[in-house]
Amino acid sequence: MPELVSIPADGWTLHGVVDIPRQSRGQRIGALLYHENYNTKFGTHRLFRELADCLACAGFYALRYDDRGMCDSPGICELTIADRLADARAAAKFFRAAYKLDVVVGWGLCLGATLALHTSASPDPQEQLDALILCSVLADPGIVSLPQFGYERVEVSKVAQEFFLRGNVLRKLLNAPRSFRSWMSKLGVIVRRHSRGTPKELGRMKATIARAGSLLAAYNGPCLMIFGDKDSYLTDFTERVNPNDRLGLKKKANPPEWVWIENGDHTFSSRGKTEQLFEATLNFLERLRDQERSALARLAGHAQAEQPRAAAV
Amino acid sequence: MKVLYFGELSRRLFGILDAPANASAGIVFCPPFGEEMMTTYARLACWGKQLADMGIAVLRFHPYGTGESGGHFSDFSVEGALQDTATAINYMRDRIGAKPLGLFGLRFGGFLAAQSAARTPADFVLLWSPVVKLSTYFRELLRTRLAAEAVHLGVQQVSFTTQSMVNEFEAGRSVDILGYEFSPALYRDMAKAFSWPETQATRNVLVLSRSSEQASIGSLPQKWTTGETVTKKVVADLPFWENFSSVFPRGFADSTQSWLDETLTHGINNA
Repeated sequence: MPELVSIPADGWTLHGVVDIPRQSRGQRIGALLYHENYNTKFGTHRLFRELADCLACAGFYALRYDDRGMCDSPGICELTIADRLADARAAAKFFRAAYKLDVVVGWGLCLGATLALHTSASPDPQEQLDALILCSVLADPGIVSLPQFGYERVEVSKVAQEFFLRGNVLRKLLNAPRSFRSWMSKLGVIVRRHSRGTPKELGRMKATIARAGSLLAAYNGPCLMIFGDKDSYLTDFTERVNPNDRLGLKKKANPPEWVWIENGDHTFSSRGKTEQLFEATLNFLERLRDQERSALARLAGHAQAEQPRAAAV
Repeated sequence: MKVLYFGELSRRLFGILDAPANASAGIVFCPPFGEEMMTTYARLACWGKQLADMGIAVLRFHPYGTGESGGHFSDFSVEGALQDTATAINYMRDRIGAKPLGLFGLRFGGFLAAQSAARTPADFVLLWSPVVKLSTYFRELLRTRLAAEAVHLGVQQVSFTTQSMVNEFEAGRSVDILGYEFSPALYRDMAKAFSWPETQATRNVLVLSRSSEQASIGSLPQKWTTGETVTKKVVADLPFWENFSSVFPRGFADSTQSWLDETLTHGINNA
């Protein structure tokens, strides 16, 4: 049975949903699900909602939330990447305290995985994550080309291709006289975007993403990396972020585990791929449940004697 | 703003009620379908908050089997979504009393709003680029799977055709469309059972669309497009439901807010 929760974050309130385990044994483990984009708690093809449900059935807590001023959280916010990072940390702190969790695992998809990595490096132990499950992680700042977010300069050739060559070209030509005003207004949007240049927020976003590789290299806790083998982000990760194990992941005392989902795309968009994703997640969490909290803390570098790691942002 | 579950326990619905004190009217948002519900969620939520700031109560809800509501996606059907819309209308009516109550819908949500208004007359209906022909829309949804296999997965030859998917439905089996499990009931509803309602019991209607959709809008039954209380307007916005953009559909929103200002100020015409 899901519980609706309100999470305080820098004076904002984040709306969240916590799926409570039907029955629980051993350690109280919670998975904090970080969504990928400016979208909602339930995720594309309802992935997050179903994962949370699946986790609760297996005895784990699961928290999903909306960022400040977005979707079902109150207010309206021009969300920045710094806001998203602050919300990610606030959610982790809230989840651990409110549900008295022994272990909080960050589960992120795409940019959500990047957020989980940053949260794991928080200087506040209450915000840190004891383990990570990173799906289709966005670690290469070069692939953040987001004209649709209004961040990036518009490439006129690509937009022209999109507008003029997509769909039924013959019908478009026939309708051209009637569509003239609409095309002119579109042209105005393209020119304005093109002349706007690269705003600072895109730079900040790229800088945040660029740190994902080094954060992953520094992270000592249990970590599972999941990719669909047809996802272009996998190629970006292996060829641009970590070519020839530049990050030294294989040499780590506790190297990340890898799961490749055959024929899987970026969001695991089929029932079969989704089930494989859930299975890999559950296998990892079941093994965590069998470990002692103290062992996890030692691995993740949370022990009080250790120096706090560098702040994420 | 209140986030809540409502409806019967066996068909629990998730909703967000943004009801300012002394709201001048209430609007029930009928969500688009599938990925379009996702891509537009943040922006429609933002617009709902803006309307609440203008003194209009807004109820956004997730039909059964979608979003945060109960059930699985395979439980989703058009008939079920219409029942859920009726539940949402009743919930809103209980909150705003005799104040004008309207329905808003984008794309498939527009179809839901029109169907619901034909069953339970609302005081006004707001339609943004409504899906007029459900069977054509359903075919397009099936084709997204073929496109995804061909483009995203780099498959040379797709393993399904639109017809083979239809055959699966006809044989009583579900079909997986990019992670959404489409049931045979949904196929029957979308491909065969439902068409745009001929009757139109709501007198105050706003239809906003893009210039490229005029052929589709032109195929609406006459009662939905003519008459002194039907307003049709073309807006210059991009098809914002096609991607996860943060660009707000300003043309749609501004035109609607102007229409609401005028209509609510001069009084709803229910004559």
